[in-house]
Amino acid sequence: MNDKPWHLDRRTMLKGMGVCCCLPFFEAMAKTTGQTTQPRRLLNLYVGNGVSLPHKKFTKIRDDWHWFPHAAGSDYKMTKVMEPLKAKRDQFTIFGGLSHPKSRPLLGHTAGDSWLTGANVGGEYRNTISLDQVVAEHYKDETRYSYMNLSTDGGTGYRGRATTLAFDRNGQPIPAENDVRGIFERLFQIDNAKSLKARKIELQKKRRVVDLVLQDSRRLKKNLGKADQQKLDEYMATLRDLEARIERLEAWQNIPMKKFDSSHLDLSVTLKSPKEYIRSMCDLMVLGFETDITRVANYMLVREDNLGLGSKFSTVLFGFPDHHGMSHGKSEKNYKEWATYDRFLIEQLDYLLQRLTDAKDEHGPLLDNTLVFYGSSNSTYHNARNYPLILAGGKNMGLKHGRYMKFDENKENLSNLFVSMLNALDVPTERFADSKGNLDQIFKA
Amino acid sequence: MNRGRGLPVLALLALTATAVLGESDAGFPNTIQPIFAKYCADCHGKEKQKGDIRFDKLDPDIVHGKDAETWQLVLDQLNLGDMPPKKAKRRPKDSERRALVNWLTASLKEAAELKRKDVRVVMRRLTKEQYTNSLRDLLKLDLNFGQDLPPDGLSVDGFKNNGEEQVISLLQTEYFMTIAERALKKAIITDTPPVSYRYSFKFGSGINKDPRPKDDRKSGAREVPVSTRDHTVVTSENRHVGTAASAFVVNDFGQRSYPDLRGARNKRFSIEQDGVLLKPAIPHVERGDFIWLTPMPSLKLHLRDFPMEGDFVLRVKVARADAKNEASPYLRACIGEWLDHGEDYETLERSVKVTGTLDKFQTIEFRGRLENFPVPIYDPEKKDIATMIVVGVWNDAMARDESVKGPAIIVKSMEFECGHVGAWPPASQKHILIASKHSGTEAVYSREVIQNFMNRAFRRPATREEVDAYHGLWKSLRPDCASFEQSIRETLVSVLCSPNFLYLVESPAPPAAAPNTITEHQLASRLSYFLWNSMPDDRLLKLAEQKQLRDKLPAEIDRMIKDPRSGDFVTAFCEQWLQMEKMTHTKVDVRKFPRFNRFVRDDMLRETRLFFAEVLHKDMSIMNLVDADFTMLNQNLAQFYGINNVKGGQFRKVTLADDAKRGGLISQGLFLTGNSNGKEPHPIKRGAWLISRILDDPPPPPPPNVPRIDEDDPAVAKLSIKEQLKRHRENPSCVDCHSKVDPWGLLLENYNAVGLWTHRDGAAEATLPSGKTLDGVDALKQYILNEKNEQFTRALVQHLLRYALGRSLSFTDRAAIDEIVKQVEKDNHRLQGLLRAMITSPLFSGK
Repeated sequence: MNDKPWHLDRRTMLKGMGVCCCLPFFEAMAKTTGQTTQPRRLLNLYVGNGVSLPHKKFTKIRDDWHWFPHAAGSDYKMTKVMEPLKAKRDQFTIFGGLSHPKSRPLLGHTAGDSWLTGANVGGEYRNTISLDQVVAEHYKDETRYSYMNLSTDGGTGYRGRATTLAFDRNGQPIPAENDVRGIFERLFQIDNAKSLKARKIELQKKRRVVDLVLQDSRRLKKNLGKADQQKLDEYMATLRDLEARIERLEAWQNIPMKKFDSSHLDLSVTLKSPKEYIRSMCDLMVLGFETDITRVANYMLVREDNLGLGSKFSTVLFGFPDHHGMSHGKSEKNYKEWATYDRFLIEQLDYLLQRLTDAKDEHGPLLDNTLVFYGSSNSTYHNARNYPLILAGGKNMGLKHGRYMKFDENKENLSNLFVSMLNALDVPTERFADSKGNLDQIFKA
Repeated sequence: MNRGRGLPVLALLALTATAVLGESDAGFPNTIQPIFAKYCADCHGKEKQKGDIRFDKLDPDIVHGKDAETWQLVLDQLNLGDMPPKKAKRRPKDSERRALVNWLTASLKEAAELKRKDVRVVMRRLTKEQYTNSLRDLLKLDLNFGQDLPPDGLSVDGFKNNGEEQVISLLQTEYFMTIAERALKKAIITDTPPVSYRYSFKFGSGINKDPRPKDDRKSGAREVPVSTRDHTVVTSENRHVGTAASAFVVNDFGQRSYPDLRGARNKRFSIEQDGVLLKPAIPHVERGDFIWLTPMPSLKLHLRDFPMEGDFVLRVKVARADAKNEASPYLRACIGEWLDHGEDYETLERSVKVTGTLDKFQTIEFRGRLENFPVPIYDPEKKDIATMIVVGVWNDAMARDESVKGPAIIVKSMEFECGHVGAWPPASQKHILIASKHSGTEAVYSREVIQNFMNRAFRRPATREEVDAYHGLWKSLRPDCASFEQSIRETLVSVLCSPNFLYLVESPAPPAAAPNTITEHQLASRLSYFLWNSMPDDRLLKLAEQKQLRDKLPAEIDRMIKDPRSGDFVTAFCEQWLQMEKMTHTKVDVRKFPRFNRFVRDDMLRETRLFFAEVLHKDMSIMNLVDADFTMLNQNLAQFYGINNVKGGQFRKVTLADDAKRGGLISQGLFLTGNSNGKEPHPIKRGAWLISRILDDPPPPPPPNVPRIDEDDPAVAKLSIKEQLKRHRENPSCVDCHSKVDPWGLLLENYNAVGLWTHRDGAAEATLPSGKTLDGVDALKQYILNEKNEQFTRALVQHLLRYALGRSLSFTDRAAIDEIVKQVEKDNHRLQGLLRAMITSPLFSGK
């Protein structure tokens, strides 16, 4: 499958050590391979319904509470909304002017489906693979799970109002999970003997099927002319890849979970206490990176429109109208409330970034090897342009921060940023969706 | 046209096709060599060899010599205008440069043609469509199994089944396995008995004496509810299908089901005593943004509790509202998904004439399989269906706008049954788990079942050794399977992943004889994948088994063309030959052309398919494809074209008036729209399409590094296409090629970007490369019929051969092709005759 000695080593070692292989295994392996295997990770965090951009006539509120800073560059002044991130100023970049051209004519809520895909989701809906899934596919053999996909509402939602950020290669939505305890048990407590045995049998059967097809192919090959033999070789190579993949999955079944400390994790949270719930979801993603069970995580904190549970958080927490309702408001009071809620969400982003800084692996703080992408597909009320976006972390991938970068939407598509992000994540990419180039300015001071 | 860019030089060469042989090398010493000597030798001669190029040492015999690749580079430089460099003392005159370009182009084309002698015949993988159709015929389940497979790439000739150029990836192999697992789960059902659901709605003013206070409805844009007083809902389920206890029992799904006329305007419908009155529906106007609805008005059932798969039947009780109105109303149905911002749905193919009267209502049935429609997805987290399914009907005597009255219908009731409909166990299961006296003895029966399936899947008798191997797998899987059915299912997955199923093996075992030798079984597959785009049926396999197929070819061809599966040939061949799929990608400016919408576009696709099918089934002359006095239309497309008196959604043959401008493929909306940019006609695209598809004389690919016309550039966007074209032609390095392409497209200038006739005098006049000046589409068709008649025949034969054989053609095929063309001409160009000549030719059926 792969010529990296890394994989082979792992397999060889496993065979030698059997089921009892001990815990420091991964660190040991990481040490022997050094900096080259420093994992790169991606975390996407979505908040629907846009942000408060107070109308010009409310000068004071606009000055203080406008989500976007009022001037671009590295000496930009944070408004009250961004203040929770003050201490981390050199850890993130704010983007202005970016959006997906195909979604610009759409009702902003519909554009949520295309946040990570850049696809055409209006008219004849044709969604395509999302950014996280491209990364997940690239790294799927390196970790136990190729991605973690969370959302406050869970499931897939429906076309135009997805409750997931992830879409597969055929543009089909990938269901998200929202039950904190359930996620923890499924992803982190995997050493349950009964289900382990069932999984092993399934994989074993699958391997037998592939073995037989390979055997059949070899028989056929003997009776073919040379050109056909070469053609058949191409197919057999994919079968061998498949076999190797099944073997790797089998190998994972024999590796016990890395030891971790989950004492800080509150599994009893419910949606009735939004702040605790959001933080537990963030903790789960951080734990996933800490234990290196995955390199990719999504969390759709608030879905679009008023249908979701996330839309109610503003009412539960502050007694404001629901999030979607606020996005329709036009009064001074409303803009202020909405911005106050925006600030609350930024506080949660700060919490996440802090947790990623505190959690360390052998390469240092996780945040330095993680891209955290935060934002919405609406700038404000139903407007699918000029997305409010923040990119944080990734110091070790060459990202330069501390700026508000503003772009002309006629020149830069959001997909251009995705191209640069993918390359930062070591997923060599020339094009993503409708990209017309890259946004490599993020690597330049 | 841009396909070849970035390919290695030889691949570029291979892109050019029919060559004019033997006319290019004569003038070399007198006309060509002096030009090179005069302008190039200083830097690329005895003294200096810049870029390692030395003209006096290059072999002037491009066709047979070894320097073709270098000459291609020379041509590229000339086309780019890069050589000789701008600062050179002397630069060639335009006429000289043109002489060089023409000589190089012709010679390189010839060289490419010769090169094709080496065309390799390589076994081909089933295309996505062939795979889907094969599973359908093998499992007796009409489902789009292959829809998740990655799309097949196109060969240089535009076909998907060219073995040499097909690629395969791990992703594809993983899909083959997943799809096989899924398909066999549907074919062999272990959780018995299945459940049937039934949703019955009756309509009429005030018929519900005990109305619910409120519907359990979602709120979306433009809802038009049917009052709870004006309808009744009863839903029921049958959990014992196929057993003695089989019966429908009322359940509580009705609580969550309701009818609606979302999007309808008041004037177009009313609630009457006998039901809901629907006037002819008006298609939704495409705005390219967020709302999309069914034609309005449509009466739509909204169901929330719902199986996601299985057969369905929709029964609609309907009558004509006004017996005096002479026009016939039609009924059409759709199935889809409710969305906040509209509906996502597929229309059922059938449009049924409404003949019932108020005294005697008529019941119309529509059948299908849920998986083939965009039904809502199941949300595994919530264990619920993400949104609602929409089952709608409308009056298909479609109206252009509110002013059209037309014949109204009254819908009295709608009943939707789904999950399982029909006999139990289903045909698919009986077909795999065959009747046998050994069915009680697993060890023996399993072998019979597996062998029977393998024979059909491999399209030939499986050898003893092969059956042993697969049966061995079954033995190893059986202990880990809960039931016999499951063990069979899991074993058969491997049969569907075997290369013996996925590939069409045609080459003999070495050291067998000539390349044209194929076995009778291989011939059966070649024939059925050609004429049906699917696997051979029992009869073909039986004839092959008896070694009689080759002798009975004419009768079998005849039978196969009459079989409905030949529709899959028409669809697949036309799609690839005429690039139909690509044609649907044009994003039409709906503000400029508000009447163009997806119904029109889809009907354009149907027009072309049905037109070709008509020529085939009525065994007409292929010259009808160039110009015909008929086309295939339904009301919607006819109205769009401005042709009156075609009523109803059903397609039919329509005889065209002399000035209709719609005869033949060239005049069909699909290609005129597909080869436009959505705002204006695009003569380059139209011209290139015409010469490559209709005349099989594709233009050479543009020289490397020629910048694409950037339509997003505001400076360019301001110019009309004609102006862009003019600007392009001013560049001397472009004009040579374009003078061979553009005139063909310019002759179609009287059709606008969506293919409507907009005559302007002189707009469509152009001079063809032959020097002949023509004016307009009629002259063009006459020219092809009279002067390019043989070329068109040959073109169609060649396209069909590439498709049928799954390979490019080479020089060595020439004689056989000549023979086929001769026969076709003798047989008055009839299409069936052409297919017979082709199939019985040694090229196809070998020895």
